[in-house]
Amino acid sequence: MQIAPGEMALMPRWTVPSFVRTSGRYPLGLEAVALNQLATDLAAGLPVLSRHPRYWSIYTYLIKQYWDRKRMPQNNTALGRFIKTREIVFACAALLCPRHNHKPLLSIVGSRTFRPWLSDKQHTDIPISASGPLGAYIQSGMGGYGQIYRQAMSELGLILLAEDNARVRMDAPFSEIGVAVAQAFEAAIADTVYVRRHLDQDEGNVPMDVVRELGEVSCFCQLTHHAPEHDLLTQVLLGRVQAPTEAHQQRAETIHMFLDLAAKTANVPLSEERFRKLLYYGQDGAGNEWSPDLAVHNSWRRWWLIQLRQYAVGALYSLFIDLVHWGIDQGATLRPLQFSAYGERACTLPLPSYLGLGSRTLGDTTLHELADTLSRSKLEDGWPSAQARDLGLLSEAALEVDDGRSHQISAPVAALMTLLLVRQRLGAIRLRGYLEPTQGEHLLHQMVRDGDIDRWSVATISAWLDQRIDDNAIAADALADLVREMVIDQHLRVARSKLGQAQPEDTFRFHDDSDGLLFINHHDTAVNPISIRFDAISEAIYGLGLTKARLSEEGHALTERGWEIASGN
Amino acid sequence: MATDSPIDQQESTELILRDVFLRGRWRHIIFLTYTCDLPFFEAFLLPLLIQGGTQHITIATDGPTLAERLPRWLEQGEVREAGRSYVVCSAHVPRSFHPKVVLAVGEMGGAVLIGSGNVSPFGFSFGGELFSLCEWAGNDTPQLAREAWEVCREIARISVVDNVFFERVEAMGRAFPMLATAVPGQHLVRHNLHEPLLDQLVQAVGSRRVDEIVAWAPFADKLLAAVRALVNRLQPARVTLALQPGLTNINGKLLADLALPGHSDIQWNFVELQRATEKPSDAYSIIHAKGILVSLQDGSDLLLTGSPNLSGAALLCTADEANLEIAVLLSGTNLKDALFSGTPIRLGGDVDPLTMQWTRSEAIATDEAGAIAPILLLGAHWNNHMLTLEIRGDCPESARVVLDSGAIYSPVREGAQLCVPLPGSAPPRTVSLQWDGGKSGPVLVADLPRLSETARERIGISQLYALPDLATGGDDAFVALMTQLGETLLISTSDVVRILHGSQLPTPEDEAQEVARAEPPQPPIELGDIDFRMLTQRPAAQAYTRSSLVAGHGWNVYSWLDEILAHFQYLQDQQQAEQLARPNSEMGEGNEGDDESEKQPSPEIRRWPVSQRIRVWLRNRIRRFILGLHSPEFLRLVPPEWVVIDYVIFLNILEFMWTRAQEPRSAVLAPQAYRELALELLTAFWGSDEEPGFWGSLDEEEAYEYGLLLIQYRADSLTLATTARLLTSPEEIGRRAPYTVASFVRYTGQIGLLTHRAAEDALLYLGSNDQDPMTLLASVRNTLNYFDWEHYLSKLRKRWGLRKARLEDRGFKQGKALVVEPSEPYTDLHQPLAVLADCLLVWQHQESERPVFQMLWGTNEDVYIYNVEGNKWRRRQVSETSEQPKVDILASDVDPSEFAAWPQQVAPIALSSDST
Repeated sequence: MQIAPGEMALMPRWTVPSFVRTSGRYPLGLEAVALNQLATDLAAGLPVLSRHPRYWSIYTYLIKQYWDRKRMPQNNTALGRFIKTREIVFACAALLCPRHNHKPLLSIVGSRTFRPWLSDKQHTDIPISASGPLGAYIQSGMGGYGQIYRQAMSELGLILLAEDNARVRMDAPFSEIGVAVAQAFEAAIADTVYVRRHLDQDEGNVPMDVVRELGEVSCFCQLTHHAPEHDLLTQVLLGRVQAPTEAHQQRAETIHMFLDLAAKTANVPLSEERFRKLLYYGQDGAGNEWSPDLAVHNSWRRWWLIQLRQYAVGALYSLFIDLVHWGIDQGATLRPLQFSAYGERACTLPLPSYLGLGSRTLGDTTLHELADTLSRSKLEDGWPSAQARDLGLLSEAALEVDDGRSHQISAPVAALMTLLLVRQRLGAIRLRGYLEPTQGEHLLHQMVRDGDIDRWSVATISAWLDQRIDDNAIAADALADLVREMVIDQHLRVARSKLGQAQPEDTFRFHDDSDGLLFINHHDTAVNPISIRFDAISEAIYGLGLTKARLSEEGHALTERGWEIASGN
Repeated sequence: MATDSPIDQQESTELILRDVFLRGRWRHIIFLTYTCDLPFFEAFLLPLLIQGGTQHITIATDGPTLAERLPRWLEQGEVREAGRSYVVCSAHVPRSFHPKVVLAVGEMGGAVLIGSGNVSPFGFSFGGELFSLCEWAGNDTPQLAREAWEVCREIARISVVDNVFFERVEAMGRAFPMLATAVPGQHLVRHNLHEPLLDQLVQAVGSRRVDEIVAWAPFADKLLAAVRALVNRLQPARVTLALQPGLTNINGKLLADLALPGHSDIQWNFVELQRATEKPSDAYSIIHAKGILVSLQDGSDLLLTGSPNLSGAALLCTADEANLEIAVLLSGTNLKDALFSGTPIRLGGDVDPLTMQWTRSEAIATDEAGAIAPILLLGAHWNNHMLTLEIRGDCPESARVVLDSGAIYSPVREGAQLCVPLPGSAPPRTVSLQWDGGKSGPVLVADLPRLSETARERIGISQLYALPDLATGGDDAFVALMTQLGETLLISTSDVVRILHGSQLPTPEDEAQEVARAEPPQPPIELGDIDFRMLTQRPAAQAYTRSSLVAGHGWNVYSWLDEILAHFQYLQDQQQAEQLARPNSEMGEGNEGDDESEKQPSPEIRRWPVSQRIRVWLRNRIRRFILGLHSPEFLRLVPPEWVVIDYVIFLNILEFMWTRAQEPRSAVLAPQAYRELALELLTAFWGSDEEPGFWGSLDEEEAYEYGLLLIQYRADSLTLATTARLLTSPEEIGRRAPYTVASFVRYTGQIGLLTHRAAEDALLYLGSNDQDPMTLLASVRNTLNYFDWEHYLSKLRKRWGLRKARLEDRGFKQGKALVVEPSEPYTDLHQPLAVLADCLLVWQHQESERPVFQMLWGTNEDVYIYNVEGNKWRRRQVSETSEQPKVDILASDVDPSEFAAWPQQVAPIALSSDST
């Protein structure tokens, strides 16, 4: 290139994107509210991926061993190496436990790497080195402890995290409780050859027989046979030995609620989806019911509100996906599309015939009429009546499943009806005074307000709909406004916030320019709902021997100890 | 172009707009833009500008477009700062206010961008915009910036924007007078305030024949008026229109007609404008750039790029008739290749023009005039409880002022202004006008007191340049930081002298001379005359007091010390993050539900290269401090605490240089240069076996006090880390380092600084926290026992002024002998015996079993012999008269330690001959 002298530096340059483009996981950013409520209020210490409670013992024990043996250097990197080497042994020990020959033990960290090794008859040793054939079982520098359990064990009060310790930057067993748990587990495995001869070993191999012998006492299934440890962990789960906090108390109430659920559905294998319905409607649509005991109502109401928000959030995501598909179908990835076109489309959307409103559309129906029609169908299922009702077409669950796929109802109409149902339920609860902060239910009061306007609390959504109903707005107009505010503006707000990060990301699914909306096709089909920790809690109570089986299995009735706990002992 | 330190960007044909704002250190900035997405601006650009220290931020944007979107943004709470911490001015022209210009300037330099992109996420996210960018450092303001300022001023002058904009443009010119210097001759920046752009392009072509026109733009006018005029007036042999099928908004039917054979002799080509990296999975998106490239038959090219589309409103009209447009007009050769070859955008295959469609979109704004209102609301501001609206046109009697609260007031007319007294403490966010039969769009109210206040506040928080910027920054970051450090720190006698003389800061050249001479350049001052209390009251001295700030600024040296701590914390966090946040590889369930953000691989840290000038400047600055440490005057003049603080800061600066030294492209100091400077600094501060160093001048109480300071800012750990690097250095540095490290170990050992914690933190700096801290401590402690004959003999030579001092095998059965050549012939026995005694003090330690030691002295090689048994000293000389050497007994029962002090004493010698 040659350019006139003095103008060299001015040769224009093409811009390239300033941000990394990704689809983002939750484009409306609404699930953070429930995630936070679960993590801090309802199930602190029981994260989604956590499973066997005995991991609490194993990790606490290993951390204490590192301290007791005065290992150096004292930092989490070295501690992580120590844990990982031994995690290989404890995981293999569990996988070799003969009690699981007929049904493999699940959720063992590293099992995908370890199982093929163990099943190879030629192998007589377990290589434990980080650089050995099993060493790459996980990338986390602190193994399964760092990846899944560390934060949870801190919340349970078993571990003092390095970042909270000004003196030594290394995790430590938290005071007497942590030490007691470690010692309880130590007592269970003290007589094994592994502990006596190999626990200090950082490299090389451990004979398979030694590991097998360890498994006979260290396997996760053996927790229930080791009363001191088992009792202590149960006390920890229920927050009875830690300094009392609200988080411990609420987790304990959650455990009681799950025990009630287990007792009353003992012969029904549960899934998270079925649990959500039993929780919300008192029945699962397949003839199974759950009417929570009065003693667990406090907790049940909180969990019910979690599910209420899930339905509202699901509806908004359904509108989001529908909007993006519509924009792409309209060719708006190439040229911007005025949002007024969405309003025109909304006017043509038919209402389902089962509402009994004839062949009406959103364009010739007011939001008030629609809400009134739904109200007349008397949605008494679930809280506050706590009486199971039939799950007909007019339920959030049914609308969520339908979501435009049955051709009876379009996705935007299903979503709008879902939000109206949520509003009605909230109204019913409020009428009965449950949401008054003065009634001792400050948490319920707070939960419906969590998210406020930035993350659309259910109270805000409800108030928004109230306003449009009072204004006698046309349902199509209300839908368009709702999409504008709760979907478009919300997404843009979340996407913009990602630009302000140290490593900014472009997660925009559409841009709102003066000419209209310009869409980006990320080939979205759906946004998966968050897990509400059903499996983690189910596994915890089973692992501690409070139920006879996992909740996902038949015959999960309470054990004797489970009944003791459920009855307050 | 005038740039005193051009920033090396022309190697790349790509421009990442974010990076321009990320590295910006400006005081004023003005945006001219058609659309301005204010929520995006507040979420993304505003924080970058504030972090960079920008105090005065002004946006002029198309008034009607803003008015359409503003109410919704305000209602949603998406716009919070407009009118409060930055100014948004609504600009009004008959059609569209369409320029895209950014002009930014500060004490360290500035930047100007002229191109096609608006202030919107689209422009930053998609690329495909075309910008001329000029960044400069220092005061030598380039022509493009001066012309850009001139255009801003002209826009303000012709009243398409309100008076607040005019004031902001003037303030920028007042603060940086170089910007307001007139530009003679042909301008690069072209606008249509007075003359249509096409006319200007035609004038630039003159009488030369046009070979080809290549044009591209996302929009054209409906009837192709601009394309026709361009072709008719320039009469090219060929026309190439670059189009994006399905995206370019142009009338394909008319275009095809134009190209029909027989319509003219012109050859028409329609080619695809496409992204070079386009993959099937990429979103096919509009290329928003606009340009006209005219290739002349004489081989030269003219290029007009910037805001104008291929529309009549943009190219054929002036701003008082239609749009306001701004572009740059460049001349050169082979510009087509420069734009489309090896660049992110290229010219592709043929496109059928009939597939192109024209629809109403932005063209509505660019080509169709709106209804003319009798009154135009240009802007509004609030000051002293008075809301003032600026208007143009005849104000109807029925005009009322409507606040965003809904309140309506009857204004008082004062010239071109409408005034409304508002007694409250907070002004409205927006205001509009209503009159019988019409109303204006809303405009944002500029809250003048609050704007001033936030600008003042930003001085404090923003003008401090961050030390960690040195790890990545280019020339601009270095210039900024070096200047601030120069204003703030006292690092040598000359700094003290300068303060007392009231002289200006040293230039880089002054510093170079100072280092070269190793003397202060100023006339000497009698040190006894200096009033230390007065010195401490000077602004730079106040910088060392935590409660005081450097006059006129918002920082002191503790600001940097706090940064140092923050950086250490960052290292710790990074270590934790590496340990704990590694991607999920097991269990196949990801971070399900627990983490809403998805983890991305850490991108590579981008470091900007720096010029040679900066490298030399930095080296000289560090050397000046080292000179200061060696200077007894300097150490007398400033309190030890200040010296320790300076040491902490310079040690950290060196650390950042070490991180960069690993990457040759952006290294400021080569690894060897780093090692040399680090060893010099540590030696000057901690001493060595040859000098006591600054620390040696402290008494015990001071050592404890300043030891705590070192601990507080992790300088104990960083020194330890630096010593570890020096000990493993190759060659000379590695040989010298142990003596400095040993001195450090001795001093810090006395006050208990060498702790496990310090070593652990040192490993963090070294990035090897897998290592056992005890191993590190052991390696530095080992230096206490380190001995190297070469080093010792070198010291011996220096100490006694010897030409030569070596250990050589001369056939003595006890081992090597010391062979010495003095610089001058000696006249008595003092010197050789003192040298031998000096050497014996270490020699005996090294060879503790040896009974006899020999030294050969001078050209005659007189042999001096020391016999351990009986502490006997003898000399054997070759006799000129006899074949037998002459042997003298010099002393008996005299310990070598006594001889070592001989120069000050009478020699204990009783000369007698020894026949044995």
